[in-house]
Amino acid sequence: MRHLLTLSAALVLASASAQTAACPKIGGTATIAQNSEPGNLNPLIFPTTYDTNIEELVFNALVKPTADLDYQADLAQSWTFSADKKTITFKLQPGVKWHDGQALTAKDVAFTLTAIASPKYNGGAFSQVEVITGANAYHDGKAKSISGIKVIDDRTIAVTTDKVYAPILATMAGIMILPQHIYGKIPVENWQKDATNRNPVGSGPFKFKQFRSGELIELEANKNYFAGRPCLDRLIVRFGDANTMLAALVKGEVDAAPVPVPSVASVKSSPNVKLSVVDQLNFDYVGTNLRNPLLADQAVRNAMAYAINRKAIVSGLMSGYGNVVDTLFPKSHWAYPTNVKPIPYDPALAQKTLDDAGWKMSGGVRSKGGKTLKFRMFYTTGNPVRERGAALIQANLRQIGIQVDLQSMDFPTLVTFLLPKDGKGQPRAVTTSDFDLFILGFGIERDPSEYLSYFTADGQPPNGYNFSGYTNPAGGNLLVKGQETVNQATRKSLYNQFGLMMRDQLPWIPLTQAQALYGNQTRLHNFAPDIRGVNVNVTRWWVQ
Amino acid sequence: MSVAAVPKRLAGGRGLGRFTRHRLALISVVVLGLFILIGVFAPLLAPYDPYDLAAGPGGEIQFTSAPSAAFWLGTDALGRDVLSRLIFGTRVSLTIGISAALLALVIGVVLGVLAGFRGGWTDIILSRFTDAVAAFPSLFLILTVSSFVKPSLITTVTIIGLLSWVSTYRLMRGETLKLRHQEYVEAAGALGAGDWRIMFRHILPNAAAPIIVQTTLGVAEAILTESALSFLGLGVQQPIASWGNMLSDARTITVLQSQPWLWLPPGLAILLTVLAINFLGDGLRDTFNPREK
Amino acid sequence: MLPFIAKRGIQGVILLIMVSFISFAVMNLAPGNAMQTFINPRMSPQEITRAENALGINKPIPVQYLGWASNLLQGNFGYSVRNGESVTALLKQRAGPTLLLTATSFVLIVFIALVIGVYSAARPYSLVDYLSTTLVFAGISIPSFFFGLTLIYLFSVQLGWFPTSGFESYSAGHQGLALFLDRAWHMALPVCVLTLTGIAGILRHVRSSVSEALRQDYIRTARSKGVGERAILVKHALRNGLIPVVTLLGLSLPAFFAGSVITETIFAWPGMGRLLVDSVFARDYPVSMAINTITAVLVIVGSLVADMLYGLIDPRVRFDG
Repeated sequence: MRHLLTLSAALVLASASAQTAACPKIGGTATIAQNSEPGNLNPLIFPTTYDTNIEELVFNALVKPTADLDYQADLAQSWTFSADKKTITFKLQPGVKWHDGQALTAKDVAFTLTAIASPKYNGGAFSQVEVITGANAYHDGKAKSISGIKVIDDRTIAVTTDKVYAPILATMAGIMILPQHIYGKIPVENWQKDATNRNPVGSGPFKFKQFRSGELIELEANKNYFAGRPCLDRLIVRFGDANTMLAALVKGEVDAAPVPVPSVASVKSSPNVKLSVVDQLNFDYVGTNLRNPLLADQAVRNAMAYAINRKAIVSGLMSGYGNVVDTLFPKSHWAYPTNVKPIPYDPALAQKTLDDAGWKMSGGVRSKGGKTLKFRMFYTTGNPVRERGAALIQANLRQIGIQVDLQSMDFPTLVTFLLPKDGKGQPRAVTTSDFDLFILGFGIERDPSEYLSYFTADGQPPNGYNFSGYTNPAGGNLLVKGQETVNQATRKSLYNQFGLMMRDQLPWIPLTQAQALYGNQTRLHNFAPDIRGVNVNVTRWWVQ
Repeated sequence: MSVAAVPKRLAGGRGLGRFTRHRLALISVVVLGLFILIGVFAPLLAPYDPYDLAAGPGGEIQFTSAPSAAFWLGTDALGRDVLSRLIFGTRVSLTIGISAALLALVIGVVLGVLAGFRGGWTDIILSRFTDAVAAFPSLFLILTVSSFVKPSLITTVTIIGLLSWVSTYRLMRGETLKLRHQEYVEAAGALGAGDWRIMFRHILPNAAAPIIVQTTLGVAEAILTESALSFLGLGVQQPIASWGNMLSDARTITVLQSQPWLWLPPGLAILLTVLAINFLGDGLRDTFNPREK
Repeated sequence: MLPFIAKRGIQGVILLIMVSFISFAVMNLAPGNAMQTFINPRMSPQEITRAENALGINKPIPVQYLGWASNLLQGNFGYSVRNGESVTALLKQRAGPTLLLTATSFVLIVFIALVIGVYSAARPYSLVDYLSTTLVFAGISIPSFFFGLTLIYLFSVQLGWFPTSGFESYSAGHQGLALFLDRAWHMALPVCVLTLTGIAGILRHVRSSVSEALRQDYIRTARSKGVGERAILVKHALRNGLIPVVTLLGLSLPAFFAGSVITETIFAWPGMGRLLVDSVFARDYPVSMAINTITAVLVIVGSLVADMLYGLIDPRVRFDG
């Protein structure tokens, strides 16, 4: 099951850090595990977390993130902004070759960006290039090419946007460049079902070798990789259930695997396995339907936040591998407001808040004017911490007289409540009765501008992802300004203000941020996942 | 468990004697009775509220604590008392296991004996209908149903019952085909016994053995299927406890390795129930089997 | 016999059309669709709607069904939405490993069930009978994920006798006989789980029908005529014991193709069961429909084969249909 709103992987880009230190040993095979099988390996067709984990080994984007969430060179050696900040010019690395030996040039970059805007493209990435000047005209068939994309020479390309667009580097980090000499021969409308989906040719540190459905993907080192060859000769990525892959790790059949929190003790007790604990950017929250007058009552949302024992979720359900989150930015994000007032765990204060707002307790449930504090809470199955967290939240809220009926479902089912459709299958607006409360994860990206779609009145379904129906213009305006400001200090202050406001208004009740746990056999060296993901320094991995 | 045949034979008295000879069947009755009593009186028996997060002396929640004087069977991953959940889970799991298996039994037996006895078009239509049910994509059916109905005990029993009668049907039909041309059945027909009377008085008791076995297996299957359903949005919902969801909540290597109090009690409860029903079934069969002299 | 098969063939085709249409409809009524599983914040909802329309998800169900069925008549199961690969190619990769697992465990189940079942029936309430009864009921009382994990923990992690999971030792690159042995070694634990959890039904049925047979008059007659106990068991009682085996064989024929979801998942076995579940959660309709359709065909064939075998084993069974 793929919880794609927790988009940690879209963040996880690029792969090899420039290789300065030589490999202590070259050669050998490493086997790593992931818990779900990737699907389509064309990075421009609906990438999921599990797809991206593989694609970033085979492909490159123009830029990639640094550990402190800035951007560094990948295919682009350098970049410059024009004086009006609307044009960015990338200079590509010299002598980059595709895995089949052909040269990678600026034409490939232009091809990739243009293909996404093609009227016949259906892969879900068009929203990202929409900001480029002329992209919409091309998309609507009114132009033969995109005026905002200019190939200056084989190694230079310029991209112009209509307005100042601060997240342009974030956008470019999210678009992996495809070879024109291969994908150019396939009509864009057929990309979704082409053989290249299971046999990609890229420019990255590893060449694709084979995809065995239900078993593994095998990759071999790209010895001509522009940033230096990987130390390994071969990398095998296996897919399997979390418990099984953990057993395989402990036994040494795989060299690295994610560790599910409930099993962390088993890893700690095995001497050959090293545990890595990595901060992530995604966090869980309780979403509310503000169209429901009971939930529109600030006192009710405050009381719920005070009553939920988030520390117990971290200490008890996550074995301490996580943090309590107090606003829509986790502590590890640059936009996190350091002066945010923590949400207290204080059932007495919660009771008092409801008392003061006139919600009277009777028979264990509170009510006012004939309305009872009774809600349905939807949550997705498949993540044990979230499933148990739901029951804990329910028990917490019961104590203050709020009755919650839990209902579990898989992710696509939850989507049908959050993004409802009418009888003809067309998207419609959310109503009061579609849902009350839901628990979901959100993978905030390096660039928080995506909150625009979640917290502005215009972003309500069917136009965006503002499921909650947050329409206060004060919050929305901060987000609009944030997207149009390039100065980092000013942006930081805008998003800090937004963070503080969300802490006070609580359209979402932030819960916890889980840390990611990975184990690796000690024979695999330099395995060092970080906030960007598991493969960040894959070129430096080596085996004994 | 061939319901129609039971009262008459019991009244005969002779059956009861043979029944008591089966000590195991008697023990099974006691065990099952005990479980049913536990289910009925769960609120009186359970030491704690099964939904409450158990608090330690300092007020902190006791997550996954080993059995102790306060918590005889320890606490689960959320800090709830395992014993209390086991006791309350008895209610849910027995209800689901027995009702779903009985539902499957009734549908399978009635349709099976009809198809086998009547033959012809009745058989063709019923058998192809059964094939259709067996060929149905149950995962999607469950997802679709879950979007229309609220998960509850009744929907769970209905779904499991409606999806699991095919084997009973096939066995019953097979037995009927075998029996209907036997002399005593044909003789009963010649003596003017009506079809329904032949089916339920003469065929059914003779076909009881495989049906009892199948129904026994069905109880265990239903108890375990329930927990799989909640993954798809049906089944009983949190925080209600069932033996099935207690087991599936414990599916990690660490639990297996070092927290046996989370999986042994519900596992043993299911095993005991199934064994008891099986021995009871054996006893019933031996008692009421008309061929046993 | 031939007209019987022909008749059943026609019934089967009609049934298949009905079942596939209803399956198609139920699947489309299930909440959510493939595109919604791809939702991410950087993609506008409009793009999702566009992709849905391109896939034809929002067309009326009968129209979609006709499109699907006409492709199928040309031997084309379509493309996986999730994998971007042809469904036929996916099925080809997954069917073999599942068949290997299910067929092996089925043979084991039938063999063990017949041996122990006949023995238990001949010596009811003996130690072997009680032990086997308790064991097989333990087999159905504990979910297979628990059995699987226990075996992995004991025999793989602790004792190191077997690999934890997978189809072969991937980094070793075995060939020929070595590969065959390596795969057999990887099959040991999953086959064990399938056998232990699957044996209860057949074993109990064999025991019950053989003991039923042993009470029949003709057996008593044979005994009184001095026919040896072994001959009675093998010639007469065992024949009776085969009837439930045949019924359950007919019922489990589809499983030879569809596999076992949980066992395949626990052992990371590249089989059909995992493919089906992945496709359900991804709402990957072309893959699900292909698996459903082939399963339906096998259900129909299985029920036909069972009916034919009844007649062979037990001449008392006569068909009008």
